[in-house]
Amino acid sequence: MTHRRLFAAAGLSAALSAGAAAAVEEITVAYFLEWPTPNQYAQAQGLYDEALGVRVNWRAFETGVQMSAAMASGAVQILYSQGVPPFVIASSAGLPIELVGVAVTYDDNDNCVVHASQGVTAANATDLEGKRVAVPLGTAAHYGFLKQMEHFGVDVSTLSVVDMPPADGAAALARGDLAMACGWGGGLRRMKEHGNVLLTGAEKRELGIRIFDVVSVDSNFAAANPELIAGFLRVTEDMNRRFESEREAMLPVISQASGMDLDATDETLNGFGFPDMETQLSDAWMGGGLQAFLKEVADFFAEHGNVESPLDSYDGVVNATFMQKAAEM
Amino acid sequence: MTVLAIYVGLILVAWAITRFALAPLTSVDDFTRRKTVTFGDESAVRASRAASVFSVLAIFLIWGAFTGSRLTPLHAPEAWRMAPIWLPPPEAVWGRVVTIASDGYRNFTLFEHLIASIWRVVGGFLAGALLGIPLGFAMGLNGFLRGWFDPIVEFMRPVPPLALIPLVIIWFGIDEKAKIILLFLASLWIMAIAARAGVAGVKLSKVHAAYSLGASRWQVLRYVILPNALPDIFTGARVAMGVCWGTVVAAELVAAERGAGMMIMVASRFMSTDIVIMGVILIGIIGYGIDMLMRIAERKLAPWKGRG
Repeated sequence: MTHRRLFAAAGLSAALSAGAAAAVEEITVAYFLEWPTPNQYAQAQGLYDEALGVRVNWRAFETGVQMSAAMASGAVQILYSQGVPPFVIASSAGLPIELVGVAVTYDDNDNCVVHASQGVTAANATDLEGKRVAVPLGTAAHYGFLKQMEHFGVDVSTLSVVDMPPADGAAALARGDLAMACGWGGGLRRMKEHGNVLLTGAEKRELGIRIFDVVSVDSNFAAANPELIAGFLRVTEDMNRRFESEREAMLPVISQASGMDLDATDETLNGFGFPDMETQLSDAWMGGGLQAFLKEVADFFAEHGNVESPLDSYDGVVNATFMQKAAEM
Repeated sequence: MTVLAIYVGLILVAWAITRFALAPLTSVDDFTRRKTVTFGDESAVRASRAASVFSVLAIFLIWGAFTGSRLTPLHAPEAWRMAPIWLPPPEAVWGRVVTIASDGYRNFTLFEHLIASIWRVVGGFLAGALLGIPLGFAMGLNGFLRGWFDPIVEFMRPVPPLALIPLVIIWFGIDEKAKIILLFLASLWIMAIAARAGVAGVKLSKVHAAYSLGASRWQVLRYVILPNALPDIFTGARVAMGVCWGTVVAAELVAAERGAGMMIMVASRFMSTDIVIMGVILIGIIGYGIDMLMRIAERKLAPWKGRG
């Protein structure tokens, strides 16, 4: 059995790398379903294809780690809305991956919820010790969870941490199987029906727990096709700004493209922030703050034994040139 | 493609060695050897031990050569090698086995992870067999019970156990109980159908012979039907074990604290490919080991298989 699997994997990767060598006639963008963003309007209307002059394929993924794996095999070139931890994991492992922009910030849309029966709030958070907690490992929620526990002085090794995606975590929390569950989006909304959060989004921001997704690209592909990456960022920026004025018109299309109903789309988008290019190029983000934050996340995961060898600096994996170029377009 | 070509090349080399260099040393002078025509005669085909050894060596050779391993004498050119995040060299995987065996992974040692998985498989399988075999016998021996259970068994049989995972979480939670129930459901139908097929396969002449010698119903069941159904039940048990072993890995993807499947899944989230490969190899070895044990048990408990 093992030999077949190994062999299939080797054959597959050979076939995929052969495919990647072809001329650029189309690009593939990885994205998440049930994660509505204004640029899905452009995705649905074919505005990217028009602006870039190539066919733009969209492929939905389950996790950010799967996105980077697909990118490394040459199947996708742009990852839209990859979480920070998967990006840090991929770049620390030495994948040719580069961060070229911030997709969405969502401090209020990613949190941990304690089951109502536990009676645990920020005041007595250490009562969680010894209890069972569901966390989607290797995600922004995992980072937020570890940071919150550190803040409250809860010893994570006493918790029994199980790996569950937010939707499953919400179901198990509702059953009362868990003391706490962490997640985002629709799963988080359902969790909140059965319990309370320990910290609000604003309180987490004060502690330096920033939650955002990034736009990352295959660095070899980006170096060879800078205008495609810059064009992609340009269209994305246009959609984000257009959404501010034409929200009502764009919502139904976004709702359709993201696979969520209208109300849920509207509500989710309320918790999202889309920083403009100027902000992204400022010191708080790609001007240096972002790189420092990546280093902090990497060191934090390394400390918890999840990342083997963090890079000395994450300056080299953040590339603002595409966004500078896009800003001039 | 290159890899495939090399692999085919290695097969040819190994074949040449076994055929021309080793054959004179290992040939046995027996009845089979005296047969003039052997092609198409399955009983004359014997697995070549040497070929099995070469097969395993070939995999490690290719694995090592394409990952720049220290253990292999030959190496693929630099451009062809795979980075450790995609395929780590064998010694890195072995190094992982050693560290996880001693330091553990996510608070549990390797041994505890594997025992957790084996315990679930054995528990779920035994529960399935304990209920499934009597169920199959009942369906094979009684018209009402066959009619009653037939729609249930035939409906549940083609449902993949993995499709039941979401329901099992909602109904039974995420405890150990839920995982064992899933494996129980995976093995139950297989065992029931195997037992029923076993009953159906008993030669009527044997049953009649027993009755004519004055056997009671119980004696017919105990001394005629059960022994004759046993080979079929064993076949079903081996299939069920295989399915359980495949299902446990998936069952552990959801909310497990320990287990081989959980180890693979969590490692993949952090791109620790060495742990993933280690898990895959260990699962393969244990699955193979379980099947060997079942075969031994079959030989001991039902030596009359295929001779009735």
